[in-house]
Amino acid sequence: MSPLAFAGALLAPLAAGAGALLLLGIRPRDGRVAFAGHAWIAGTLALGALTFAVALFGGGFGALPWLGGGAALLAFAVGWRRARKAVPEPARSAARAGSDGALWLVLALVLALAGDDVLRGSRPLVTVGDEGSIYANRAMALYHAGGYGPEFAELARRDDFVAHPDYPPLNPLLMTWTFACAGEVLHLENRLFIQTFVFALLALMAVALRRVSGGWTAALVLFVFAGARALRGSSRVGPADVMTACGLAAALDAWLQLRASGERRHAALLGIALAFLAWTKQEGLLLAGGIGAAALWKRRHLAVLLLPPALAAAAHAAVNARFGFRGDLLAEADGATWFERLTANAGHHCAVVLRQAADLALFNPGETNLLLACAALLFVLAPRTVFRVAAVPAVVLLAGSAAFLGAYLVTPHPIEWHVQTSLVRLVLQVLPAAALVVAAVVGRCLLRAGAPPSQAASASSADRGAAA
Amino acid sequence: MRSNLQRALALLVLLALAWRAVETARERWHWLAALGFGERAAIVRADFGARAAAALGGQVAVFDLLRDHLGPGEDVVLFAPGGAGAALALDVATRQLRALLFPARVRSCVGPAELAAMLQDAAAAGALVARLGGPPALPGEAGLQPIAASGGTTLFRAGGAR
Repeated sequence: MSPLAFAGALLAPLAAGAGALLLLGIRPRDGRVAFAGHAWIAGTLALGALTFAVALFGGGFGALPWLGGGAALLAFAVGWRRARKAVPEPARSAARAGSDGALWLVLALVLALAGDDVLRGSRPLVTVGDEGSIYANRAMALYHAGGYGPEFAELARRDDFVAHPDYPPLNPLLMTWTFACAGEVLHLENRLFIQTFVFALLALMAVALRRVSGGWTAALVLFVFAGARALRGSSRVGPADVMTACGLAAALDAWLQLRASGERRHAALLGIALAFLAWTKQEGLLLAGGIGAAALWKRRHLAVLLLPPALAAAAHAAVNARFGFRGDLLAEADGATWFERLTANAGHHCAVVLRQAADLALFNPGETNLLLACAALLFVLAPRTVFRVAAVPAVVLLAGSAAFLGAYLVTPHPIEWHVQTSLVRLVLQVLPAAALVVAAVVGRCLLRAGAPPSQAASASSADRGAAA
Repeated sequence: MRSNLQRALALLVLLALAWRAVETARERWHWLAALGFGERAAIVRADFGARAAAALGGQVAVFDLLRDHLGPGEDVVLFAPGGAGAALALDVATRQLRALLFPARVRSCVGPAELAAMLQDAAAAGALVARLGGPPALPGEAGLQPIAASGGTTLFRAGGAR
């Protein structure tokens, strides 16, 4: 793939996402780092949806780059025009505290280090592992078949080629987008495209952390978060776990903005992030449901924000139903239903999972850099403070962990193998929530920073200051 | 009182994070220093063949041979005589080649009986058969024509010359 074509493949979602945010009334001046992160989420979701539509209605992917590029340019032009017509808001004071300077410096550092991780991951081609069998091979099948037709079904049903064809489709759809931009199947650039989510994740975490704590605390937690081996390992390959973590960070950041402003545009931003999350992995769907429910609990009039994730989940379920793709967790295995497995194995599986989780959180401190252990400590010793200063991240962390545990309890696979091969990735997916809980409590109890009503404003002004 | 306890707890968490930050900084420094600019530049400049070689490890010859001889619509059978050790390496190579040679269908076998059954299919489909190492003759190789060899891998065409 030529560098120019790859640049086009990256710029199209960015332009589409920026246009979508401008149309919603979200401006770069509200915070450029946050704007870039959310634009990447919205744009990749839009390009994924377009690729999905092309795959669904047939016709092949030959015209997809032109269709996607044209739609992105149109969205950006319309959004830009609307933003220029809008009455300019009075400039808020964007005083740059030294602590915010430290945060942006740390962000620049961790982005550069993530770039090095991405580079090292680019030595071999995408062939095996989850990135190959679950995502890239499915994208190859889709691209080769020209859409969701019988040939795709035949290729996706090959056990020796595609694993878990029932998984949510965003990752393979985006890989298909890169294939369409190159005009051929790729084995490297498709991974690079997915790896860009680690940059969006770090940017979104920086602003979200700043919304719940002071600049120094946010800088420290961001550095520790970015250095966690669970994240670094996943950022060198191209499965959907970093995408899920990124979607969670986007959703939590959107929720923090919505809580501070109560504005519809931030509700729409949350809806987009939840739809993205629902299309990344089943775990993402669970987390999206958890955040949506928690958000509705606080603001019931915003039920409409659940529409985008519900549509995304329904579209994915329809494709699975059409081809008969089913997940293995709730399927009958060895003559036992999931409920029979649950009742028979609950005690043993629970013990194995908790032992491995404790081992991961406490005795392998580099994996999560103790963020999970610190969050657990705060939950046990200061639960009221946790729920007072970081209610939604706390609920997401608890509900997500409980849902993951539930999945392990009914698994048809040998539990030791299943936990060993997946727990680190599951932990990565909820690590943004753990980092936010830790930063919020430390910021509130120790440094007296990040009071809830002013969180969004303080982060936005700091973000604007950094970009100025 | 509770406020002081909470402050102490938050301080404990902050100290733990500071320790991890120092450890992370040290680890990342070693990580950065372990790879020179020259090696980084080599990763950036590496072409498809070099990356395929990195992915395939010791199975480069089979990839090169198949890439040169595989025609459109042809399938591949990989055969490695040599027991369980060979089976593991063969399984890894097979999964990698399935991705790299897509849309060709790549299958593999280790046992002579399995090979004989697979060759019947392969002969009908006109597939390429790659033998990774092993003795010079294939069991039941009637109808197989050796077409190329390199690095311990021999390539046959099943079903006669095309």
